[in-house]
Amino acid sequence: MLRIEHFTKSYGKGKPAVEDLNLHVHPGDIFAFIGPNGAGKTTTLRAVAGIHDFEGGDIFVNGVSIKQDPLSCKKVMRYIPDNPDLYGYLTGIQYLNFLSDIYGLDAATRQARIERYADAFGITARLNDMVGAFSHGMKQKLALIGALIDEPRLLLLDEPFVGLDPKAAFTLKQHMREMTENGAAIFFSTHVLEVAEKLCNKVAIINHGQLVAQGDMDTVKGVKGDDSLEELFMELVEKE
Amino acid sequence: MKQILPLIRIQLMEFFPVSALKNTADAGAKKRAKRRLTSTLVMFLACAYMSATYSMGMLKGGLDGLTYTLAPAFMLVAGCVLGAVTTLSKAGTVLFSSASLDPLLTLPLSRRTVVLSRLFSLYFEEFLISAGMLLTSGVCCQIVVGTLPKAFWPVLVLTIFLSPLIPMGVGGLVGLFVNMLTARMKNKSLFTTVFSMAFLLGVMFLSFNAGTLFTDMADIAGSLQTRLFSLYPPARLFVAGIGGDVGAFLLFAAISLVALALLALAAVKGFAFFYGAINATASGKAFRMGRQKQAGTLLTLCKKELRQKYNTPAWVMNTDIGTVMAVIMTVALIVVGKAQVMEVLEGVFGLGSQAGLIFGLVIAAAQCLSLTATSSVSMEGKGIYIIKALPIRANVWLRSKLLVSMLPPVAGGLLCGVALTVAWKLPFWNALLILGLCVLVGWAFSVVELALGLHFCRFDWENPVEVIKQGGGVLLSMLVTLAFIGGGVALIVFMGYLGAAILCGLLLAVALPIRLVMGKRAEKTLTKL
Repeated sequence: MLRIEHFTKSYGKGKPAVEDLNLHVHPGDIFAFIGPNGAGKTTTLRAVAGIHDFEGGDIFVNGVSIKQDPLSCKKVMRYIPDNPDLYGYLTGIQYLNFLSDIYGLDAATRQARIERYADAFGITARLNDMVGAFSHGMKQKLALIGALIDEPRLLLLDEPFVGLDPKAAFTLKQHMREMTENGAAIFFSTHVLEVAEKLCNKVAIINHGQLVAQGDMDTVKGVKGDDSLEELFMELVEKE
Repeated sequence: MKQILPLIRIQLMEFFPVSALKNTADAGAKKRAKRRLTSTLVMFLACAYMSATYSMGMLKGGLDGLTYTLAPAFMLVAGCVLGAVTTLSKAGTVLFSSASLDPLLTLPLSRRTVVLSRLFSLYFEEFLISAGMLLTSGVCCQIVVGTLPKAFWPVLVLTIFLSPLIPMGVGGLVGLFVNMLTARMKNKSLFTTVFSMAFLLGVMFLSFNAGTLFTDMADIAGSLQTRLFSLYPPARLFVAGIGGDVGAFLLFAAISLVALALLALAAVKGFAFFYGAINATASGKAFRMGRQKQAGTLLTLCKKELRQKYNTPAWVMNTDIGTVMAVIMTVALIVVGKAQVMEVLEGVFGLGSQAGLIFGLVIAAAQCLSLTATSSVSMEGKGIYIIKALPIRANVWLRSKLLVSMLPPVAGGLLCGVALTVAWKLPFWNALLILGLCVLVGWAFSVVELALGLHFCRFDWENPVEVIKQGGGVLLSMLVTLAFIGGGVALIVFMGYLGAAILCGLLLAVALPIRLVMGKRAEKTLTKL
């Protein structure tokens, strides 16, 4: 589903933000991407989403290179940033219709899906309000709905649980499991290691722009004989 | 008052990000800081350039008797009207927006200190514009006239500091009043825009006395000065001041300071009220799912662009004013009557046979002020990632911006062309000529401005006014527009229809290759943004 090969990205002439990253996400994976602040998680996610250009390596979505054919890649994946700066001048429903038009969803399909996901996240009543008036959590929910209504094959999330209330976080986890049971893949970054441990079948740990561990959750934890992902993380990150 | 100095320093760093340039290692941040600094300097230089063009035109036009007062008075009025309009649309957010105020309000600072520091932010931008315009006008007067009254330079320099205060005071108070009225409205941006536009046009209409404009053409200087004084009465005191009337200048200074004091008092005393009103949001009715409609990508991008425009008062005020001016000009021409206008065109300028071309050029030139293309890329702001992450062809995205930018010139050209043709019973082709010129000029300028906007874009703004008014692309496009107006008038005056054909050819020759290259490189350009 997602293949990252020798990915390298620099900002300016200094040390690369991410260097020679290799990673493979298969259909059905819920893949956690964890690391300290400034490690390169957001840089990697934004490059996969086609937002950032990059100097080294390539990224393939469903076998298609994001450099050669970004449009085809973007048709099958959706990205939600950690701080969703949405269009404050649109109402919630206008924003969802905007995205639905871009995805090419017909009227009946979008109606059904918007109803389903808006009810699930509990923001149906607020869809007439301007997005600029939403709290951070509500924007996060709206951004999630905007990504889910198209039922993408690859979902990229940057710290998706920040700002979500417990019910919304639970709903999101349910939908993530549902998606991957249907063959989609999810690649997300998080600082909440307990969630990553319970939800994900695979994990990659990045520090100072380089991968320090990756693989199946149990295998990665087992390598160092750690009981928890948190212990492994602290060990690996402090060693660097 | 000691507390205010660090706050003022922070405000100045917005305009002159020298610290960011010297201290940051982040190349992206350095680039953004360079752009902000360049924008500030270009804004000052663009105002100076405009002032030099108009001032030299007036001075060398041989307007005897009023030579050293008319040009500075014109610049003063132009700067103040501009200042009042922009302050009206941004006073609320600059003074009371929670995004910028909340961090300060948690510190042990008095509200008075916080408000005064925000007033400085409003003031400084108008000061730069005033300095560029008045200083240059003064230099032009010195070069052309030679010997000036002793009071000229001291009064001019002091006026640079004082002139922003009245427009700030008036614009700020009206802006706060409008914010108060629209606090809980759902479409408060739209109401703010409509009210601001109506206010501005009302003042201009009432003071300009367009009805006698053409009869006063024989005394252009006197007519212009009378209208300047009607539009902005304190200009009379300024003109008396540079002539040596100390009492008049002191009165001007007093009025300026009182205007500032009133705004400061209103802002400080009414802080809690305005803060609550400006940061309040309206709740719409609870949403009930109805039938949804599907639209294509291009249409949905155009709708998004239009919704953003009409939810951003500053953007509307800085663009649609051109179309509104064109419509007002057309109405004024119709009211004055064909016979009188043609008499002036033929008698004073010798251009009776090219009336259709002249009207078309004037209406099209006014439309150049209506174009959203320059700021439209930067206006994506921090949401640019949405466009970059979605499966949207970059060329379609650019096309949507061009189409929205061209809407006012097309609508305005059609309205004005048809109205003038019908009212004056002109041959039908006049309407087509006016519309055609508006469409061509609108398209060509939109293409050039979009190209500038792509080159000079920035997405890290907090207040849209930063990119609507101060962007490097915006200022360059102003200069290009002025060059077009000057060159276009010269071509038509000296070469008639042949000149118009050359002008159209030049527009196509410049804009078409730019559009083709823009389209070809669109995907790469979008990725690199």
